[in-house]
Amino acid sequence: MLALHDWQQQLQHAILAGDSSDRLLHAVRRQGVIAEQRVGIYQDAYHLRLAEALASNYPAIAQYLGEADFGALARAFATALPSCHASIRWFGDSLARFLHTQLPWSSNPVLHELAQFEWALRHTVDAADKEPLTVPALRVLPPESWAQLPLVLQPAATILRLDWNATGFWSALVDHLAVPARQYCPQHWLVYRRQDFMAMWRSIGDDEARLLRLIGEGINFGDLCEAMAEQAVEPEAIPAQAALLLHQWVDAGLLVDTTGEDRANQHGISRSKP
Amino acid sequence: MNTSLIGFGLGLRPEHYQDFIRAQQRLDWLEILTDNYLVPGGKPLHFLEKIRCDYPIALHGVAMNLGSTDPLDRHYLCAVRALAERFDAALVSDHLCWTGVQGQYLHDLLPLPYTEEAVRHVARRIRQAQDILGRRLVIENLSAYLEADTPMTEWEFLTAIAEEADCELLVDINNIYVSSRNQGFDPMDYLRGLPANRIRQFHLAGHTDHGVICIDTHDQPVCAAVWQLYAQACELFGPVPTMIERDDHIPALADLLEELEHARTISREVAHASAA
Repeated sequence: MLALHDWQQQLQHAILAGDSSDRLLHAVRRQGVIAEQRVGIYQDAYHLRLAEALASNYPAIAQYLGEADFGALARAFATALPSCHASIRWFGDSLARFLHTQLPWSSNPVLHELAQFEWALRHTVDAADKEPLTVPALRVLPPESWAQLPLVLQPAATILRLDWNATGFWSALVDHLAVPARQYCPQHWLVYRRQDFMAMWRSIGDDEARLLRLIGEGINFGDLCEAMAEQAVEPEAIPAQAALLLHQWVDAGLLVDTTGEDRANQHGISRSKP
Repeated sequence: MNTSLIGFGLGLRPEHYQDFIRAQQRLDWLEILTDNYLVPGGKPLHFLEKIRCDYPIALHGVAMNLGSTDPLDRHYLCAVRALAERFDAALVSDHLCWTGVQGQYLHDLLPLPYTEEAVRHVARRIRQAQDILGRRLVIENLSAYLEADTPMTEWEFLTAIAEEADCELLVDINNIYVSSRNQGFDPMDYLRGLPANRIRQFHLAGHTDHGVICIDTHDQPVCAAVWQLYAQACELFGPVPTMIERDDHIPALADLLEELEHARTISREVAHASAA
């Protein structure tokens, strides 16, 4: 009989590599169905389960490739990058990179961008909840506090730069329509969720993408105005433009309410970030 | 809110969130798949918050990896504890299995060899897990498709671990049936070999019968042979909180409630017969 450690090493190797050692097969109780077939049940179940999990995170890619090709992708991906997360929810977190670098999938640049887009959509489902910044909260903010107001993106928001029409592919695939012709059309995209948990996305211009990325790095409203001023043709228009952008982001529920933090700081109260 | 687990429940699935939010349903408690709620936020936790107001909740996980020879995942266990505390869980269960070694996860419930070495190893880890969780763990038996050739039976193994770890048991009646078909033992020997005082919950589920082998698929109704075994378990152990698991081809909630009613009927009839 194998020791526990050996049993686990041998059975895991058999499942991952599809190759059962004689030591393992001799250690399995003989009862009706032969040992190779019994190990085979676990081998088949492993690949089916991971393919299902990957398809759950990337339904449009599964639809695009079809069952056989998606199964081959899932098998190659699981072989190259076995899951290292306790929860299967996170299986496939590096699929976009895999598709970008591995033939034959890397020959179609839409694929890895579609993966980026689907992972961002999946992220909207269970990303952390933070209290959204609201217009009423901004209204009661003292004028002297505006410049120091920390701007924080909702955790569910992702900013993507996609060179191809991956979102067009996605829309066609989920509606079971023919995918459009591949088209080079560089564009920034914002993926986020509404307060009712509906996933949303829209294309954004270079300037808005730059500012949202700066917010992602951690800036306050004063920094935002300075960043806008760096590229402004009419610097005097910056405050109004910044206020307008802020209003749009607040309307979309994109920002976290940090006004309480600002008040706490003013009163010397120590508290963690919301 | 009541937190005890008494009577009959179902596994909560996203397909039925709205049914539970719209109206009170005829069941006593719900079991959630722990791992689906170990997420930062969003929809799953939002719905669970709402539904938890009306039903006691049991946590049932698949990733504790209790039998592995890898180090115990303390981060995972702390997250389970936080979830259990947040929702005031009636119990926390996972499986008597391992799910991976060498830092890799196969996301399957893999069988342990029934040896004294494994009893000591797993019991020690369950005790450590219980210390981290701050509560007793409830351990479930697997459906197995292969077994190591050892002199010990599965029920002796399960019982020895439960005694040494001082944990409780979730007895999956369908898993006993599936394993009995696959390994060629009498399922009544299994039931009679279990420590009655440690049984905290029963699971019922459907499987796929391929003739020479049965696969635990949870994708169809409970079959007649499993209902029969359930009745025998009720005779042996009396009333035990019971639920039906369905993870694929998920039907309307009304269909599952009807199936659960059958479990109620069996349990009631057995109790009446025993009292007579």
